[in-house]
Amino acid sequence: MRRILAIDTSTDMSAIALVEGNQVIGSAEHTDARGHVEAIGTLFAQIPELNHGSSEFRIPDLIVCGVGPGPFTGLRVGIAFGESLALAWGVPVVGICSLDAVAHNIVRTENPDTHFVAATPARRGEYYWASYTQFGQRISGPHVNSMEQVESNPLDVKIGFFPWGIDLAGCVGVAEELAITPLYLRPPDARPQVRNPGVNSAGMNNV
Amino acid sequence: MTRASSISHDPIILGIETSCDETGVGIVQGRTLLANHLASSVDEHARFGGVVPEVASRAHLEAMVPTISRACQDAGIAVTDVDAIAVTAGPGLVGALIVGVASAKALGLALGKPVYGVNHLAAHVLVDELEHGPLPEPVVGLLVSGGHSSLIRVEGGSFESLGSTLDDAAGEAFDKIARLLGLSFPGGPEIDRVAVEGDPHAIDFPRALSVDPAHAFNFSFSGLKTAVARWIKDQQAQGNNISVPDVAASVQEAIADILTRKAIAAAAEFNAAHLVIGGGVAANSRLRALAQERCAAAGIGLRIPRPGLCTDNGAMVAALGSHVVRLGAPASPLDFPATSTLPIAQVLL
Ligand SMILES: [Zn+2]
Repeated sequence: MRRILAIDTSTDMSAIALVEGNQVIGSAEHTDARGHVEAIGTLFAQIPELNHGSSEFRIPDLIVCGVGPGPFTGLRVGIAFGESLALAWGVPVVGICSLDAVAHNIVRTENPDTHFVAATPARRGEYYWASYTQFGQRISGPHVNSMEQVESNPLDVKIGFFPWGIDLAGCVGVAEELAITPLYLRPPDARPQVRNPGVNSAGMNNV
Repeated sequence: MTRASSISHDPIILGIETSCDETGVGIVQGRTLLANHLASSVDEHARFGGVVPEVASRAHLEAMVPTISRACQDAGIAVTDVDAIAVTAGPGLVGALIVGVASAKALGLALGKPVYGVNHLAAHVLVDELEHGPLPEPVVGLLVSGGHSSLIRVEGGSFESLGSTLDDAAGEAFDKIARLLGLSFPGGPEIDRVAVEGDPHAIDFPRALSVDPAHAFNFSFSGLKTAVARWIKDQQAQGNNISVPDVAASVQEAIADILTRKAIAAAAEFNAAHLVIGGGVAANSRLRALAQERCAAAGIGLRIPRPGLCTDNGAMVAALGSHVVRLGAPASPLDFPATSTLPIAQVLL
């Protein structure tokens, strides 16, 4: 049975799950809007089957990363982490739109009977969103807009759901496989930085 | 048997650098450099006249894994041959640092090897060991680049800040003045190139050498930039032609004068028989020549690594990693952060 390691850092939550078929071998999450790079190693270490020293250790067969959309700085943590694991272990890595995992969770936990919109918070009061069938197949998106704009479409908007690792793994083979690169949806903010980090420690735009 | 392990039994350290606009991965064994691969996003920043953090961060993520692969290939090792990973944890642009730290943690966890989150400025000093062997102590380091201008002292393995810039970094001063002169970004190499044709004594720009002992080893370059702007304006008002080579040579002379004068005074004050210069500005030809001349006159040994090791790179991080491993330092905790303002006293997280 194929063993899949799923990683997502596209929201305030950093999530990781190790899944084999329908069985969850281990999972861990931590919520901190600016703490992804701190959390990711600790979350990984909480799953014994991923730890070299453990007798249960086995290299997963596939790594799947949520590629957003999501706030960029946090999003890049999961992707850099997943890609580097794949390099070290010599296993493949694929990307899945993180909103597809959110939709997967909505279908699993709410069993909706009509099409719906899955949305996650972006910065500056905006939301990332995409619309889905009641079975969780993406119809349109991903987009980024104000909540007003999101709600101007007739579908039921579902917020407050997260791209859990288990759902991300569940999307493999079902949702569209993407390149392992972030879904930025926006060109970079082109403001040059005062370069002396000792004097000006900004560099946090687009976090 | 891999090429590296046949040379010595020292551990193989892979170093990752992503604090500004260079994605660097270096591999060292002991003090031997095995590989130093670099991907730069400098061209993407040129039209903005400075480094754009989000552009740099995007480029780091794209380059990270290919750069690691390429460095391993150049070193003739498999990534599984690496004994420890070192990564710049700060100071630098947080969004850029985070890419390297996430990648380093993944490599360490996947391979079951320790990860060391280290200080970028200390790495600029330690890199000289790859070229000139063990550092004699105490030693004073002058670190000058687009992101920093610092004087530090190393003794007994500990690093202490003697001073740093109060405003612009030296490289930043070059960038801003180059822009005034219509030269392209990054300004340092451009001014160096143009200055060859100029007279370094044509214009006597102010040196901002503070008489306040509290700032004896601090730098300030914003006054110089203002002086150049004013001088250009005055000349234009008088209808005079401006000789760009003369201005470039005079500016370069002023910056090299300030940097070397303070560095040598620091070495004398703290009984350091040696001065190490690092950072991108260490590639400046006038700074190198003047440092050579003044160190010789003062009886101070001068150590400047080759330009490719002075600018930001992965080998410097690996060299510092190798140093902390040699000292038997414990690995960084799993949850160590990327931090924009890591003080020099904190060499290892
Ligand atoms: Zn540097």
